Amino acid sequence: MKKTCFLAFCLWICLGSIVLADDYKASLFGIKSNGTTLNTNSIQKAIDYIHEKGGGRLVFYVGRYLTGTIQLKSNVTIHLEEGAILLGSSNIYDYNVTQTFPALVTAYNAQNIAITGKGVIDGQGREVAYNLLDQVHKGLLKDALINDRPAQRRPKGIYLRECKNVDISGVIVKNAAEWVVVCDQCENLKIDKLTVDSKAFWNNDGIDIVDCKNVLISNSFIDSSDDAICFKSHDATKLCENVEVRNCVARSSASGIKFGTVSSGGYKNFKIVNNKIFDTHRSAITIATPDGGAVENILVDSLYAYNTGNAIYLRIGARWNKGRTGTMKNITIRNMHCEIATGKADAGREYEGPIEDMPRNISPASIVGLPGQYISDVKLQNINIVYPGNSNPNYAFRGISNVDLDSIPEMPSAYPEFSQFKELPAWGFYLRHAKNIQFENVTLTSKGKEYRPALVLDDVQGATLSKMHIIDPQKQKKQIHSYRSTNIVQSK
Amino acid sequence: MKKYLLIVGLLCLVCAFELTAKDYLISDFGAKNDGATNNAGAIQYAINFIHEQGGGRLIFETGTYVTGSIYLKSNVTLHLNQGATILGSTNPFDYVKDKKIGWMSMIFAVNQENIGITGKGTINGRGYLTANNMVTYIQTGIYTDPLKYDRPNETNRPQNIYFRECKNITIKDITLKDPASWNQTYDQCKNLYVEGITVDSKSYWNNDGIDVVDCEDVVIKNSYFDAADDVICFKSHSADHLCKNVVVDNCVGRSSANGLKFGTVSRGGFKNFKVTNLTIFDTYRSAITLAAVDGAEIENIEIDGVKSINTGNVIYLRIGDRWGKGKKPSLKNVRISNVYAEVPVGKPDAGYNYEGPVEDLPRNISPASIVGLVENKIKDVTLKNIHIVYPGEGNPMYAKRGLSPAELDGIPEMRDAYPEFSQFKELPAWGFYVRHAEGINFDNITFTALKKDYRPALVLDDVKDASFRSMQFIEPESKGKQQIFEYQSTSRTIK
Repeated sequence: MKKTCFLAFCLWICLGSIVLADDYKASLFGIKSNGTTLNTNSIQKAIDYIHEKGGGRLVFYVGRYLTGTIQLKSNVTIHLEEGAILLGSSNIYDYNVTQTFPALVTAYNAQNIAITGKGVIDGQGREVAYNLLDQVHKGLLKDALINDRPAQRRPKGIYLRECKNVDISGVIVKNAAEWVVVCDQCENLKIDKLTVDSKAFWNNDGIDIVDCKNVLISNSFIDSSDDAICFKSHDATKLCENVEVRNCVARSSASGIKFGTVSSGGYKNFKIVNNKIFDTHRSAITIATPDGGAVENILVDSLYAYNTGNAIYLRIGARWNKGRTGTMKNITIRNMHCEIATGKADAGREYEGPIEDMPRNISPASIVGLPGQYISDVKLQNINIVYPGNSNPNYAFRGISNVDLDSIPEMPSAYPEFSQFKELPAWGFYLRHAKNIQFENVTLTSKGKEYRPALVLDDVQGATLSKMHIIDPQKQKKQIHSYRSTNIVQSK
Repeated sequence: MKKYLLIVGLLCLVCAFELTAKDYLISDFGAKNDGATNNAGAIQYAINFIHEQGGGRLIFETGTYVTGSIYLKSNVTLHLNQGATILGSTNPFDYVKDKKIGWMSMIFAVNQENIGITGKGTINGRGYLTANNMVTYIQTGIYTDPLKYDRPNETNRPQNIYFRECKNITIKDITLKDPASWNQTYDQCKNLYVEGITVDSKSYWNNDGIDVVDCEDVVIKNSYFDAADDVICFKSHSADHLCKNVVVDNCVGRSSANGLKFGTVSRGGFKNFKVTNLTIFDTYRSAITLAAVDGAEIENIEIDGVKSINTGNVIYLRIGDRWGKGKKPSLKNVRISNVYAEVPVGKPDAGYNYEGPVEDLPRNISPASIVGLVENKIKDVTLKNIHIVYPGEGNPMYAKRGLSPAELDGIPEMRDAYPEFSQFKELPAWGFYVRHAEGINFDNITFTALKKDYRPALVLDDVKDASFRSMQFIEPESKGKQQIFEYQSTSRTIK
């Protein structure tokens, strides 16, 4: 019986590969490559047809294929040859706007789906967003216009929900009207050699991985106006788990790598290895749990950040947690090199990140929990952060007196951002409500004189600081200040 | 120069001869100008009749005349009055694939003399419809074609005009629209005179503006081209023939490929060209591409007075080794002068139907390039009075090619690849890249980068005897930056 099963399995594999190898050219379905014919129905017919035939690749050769929302089905691959562009219609009514998450390319409950090739998916997001805005202004669609931008209906680039065995590789995804590539409650997800180029409109997150399991993102390049590589947890009963991010390069007018903001369930077992962040307005890496999510076992290794507004921001908050308590533990960040921007890191780009929380001097890396809710077991090893320095106490001042330190607001329900506390009392690292923290071989360099100490620990219960190197032209100053803290051990 | 004047003189005589010939009205031959009736039979009968009568003009008065393939005969000129349109049938089976030529076309001529197409009327191939009808026939198995790139082969889609081995051709004043393949091809012809034509050719893939293949004594002047593929394209299909004695003057072109192009098929060669007062705008690839990849000999090329605005690349000179079958290619004695060019940051042909393909990524803005082969260098190129404005902002995080020997040697040779300015992906210079060349003279050159670039302006690799006179590099935040980098090269600076 076992043998038969095995043979059957082998046969199934063979059949599977044969079926998957079937290629269908777009022209078979009357799909036009001129860039002006709306192909939505013919592309959907092609996908349905290939799905019903048992699967295969729908192959687009060089050309621009105008379309509205299409839905991928099980065992179907959209293959875009180099020079092929799947071009989003600029008319909002060509999208599935009645869905919670409209998008150009969608899939729901599908298995073995893929988007491959060296071609492009271009959402024409700015045109779609302006078209939507126009419809709202004319009163044809209702929208709250939060921040003077449509709050609903803006189509994402790719939205995949509850799909299994997903492969996105090689393609370039551009110009969504909202988030660009989104995988929500998916399992076995492989993203490789993806390029995201999206500065078309507000909220252009590069990649959003929401409550997914078994994820590998590798060799990808992301240039996005909002968070570049972003993990979210929308569902308190779900979480992001077993995730690896490797060899990616990213740029953002928000954060480079971000956990959150919506973080209901949590994040477990992450390996983020050998990535580069550049010209990024906010943090190279932000891990935030303001909505009750549990964060644990996160390894960040070999992260290089250049011209970035902030290095590291770890935060527990209490925003939409509905009585649940957010936790964060077992975080290791090692072999990191970060150069903090002197000016605005994303200056000149479209949809620059907002200047906010002023006045403040350059903000330090921070680890900030809540009273009684400690961020615990954080290990920082072989870290090198270079700051511009030159803080000016006449512009913004936060001293290290008990009164000054206590005056830093807790802000549990605020949106978590490295700058949220305005001026902080340290130039290198600020820790508050943290437990069991280990600094090993951490070098903090300030290029200009600083009025603040390098490191401030406030309510830190247990920390070892070994091989700390602090370089500040403002000599003869105590560079480490601790307050309300216990078991702080410093060694050479 | 005397030679060119002689050609022009001869061609004028030809024109004069045509004008004095007898006129015949197409309506007298029963053609209907209703835009629906296929008049191929009536038109062919009229052409044959006029030819047998000793020649004359076949006049198309205002109206729309549908036709399939027709063959023009010696001493006959098709004259389209303003308001007259010859409209291609949308049924691919109304077209002949000529056995000798191997292509489909609407208006053929083979081995004829003293022929022309003149007047302010229009020839409209309706290529989009014809090509897509062909796709349907192929998908349903009625017509056989491999559908490479998901489109019928170029030869299985009708051009508007294909003349082969003809002499004394006049193409004047007409508008040529929407072919299903290349627009107009003159193949192994002699004494070709093209003046004042308008080409609107962006209805389907491979819509070249004009293709001149292995022709001698050619004038193309005062014409306007808007083409999805190459604008003014010289080719050499035959290793035993070549394009020679060619004047291109006062032309304007827009393309989703190249402006002035030699190649791609480049077997025999290209000699004695004078191109003056050329304007190229909104063009995806290079304003000027000279490619000898199939054994062609290219020499004595003078290009004087080029304005290249919103065009992806300015100059691309290339020797390759693709279909040469052992024939040794050469590219020498090229002089390009008085050029002003602006290279944009975005896609220059954005929004056109059949936009040029986004390819060879990741790369920052590509420089102008001269790239020969190790054993076969590009020789004696003079670049004089040239100003190219680049956007700069090359980002090494996106794509990086540094200046170390390993990185420079790491640029692939790509001997047998399709020659395109972007083929090497990221190149180590933002302004000009020269490799495997000899005797390259830069004289009064300005390269401007609007934003700081991580690369130097100019890289020479394996270049013998380069010379520089009055070089200027403008790049923000780059005081003291070494803008010329030489590797395995020799050069001198002339004061």
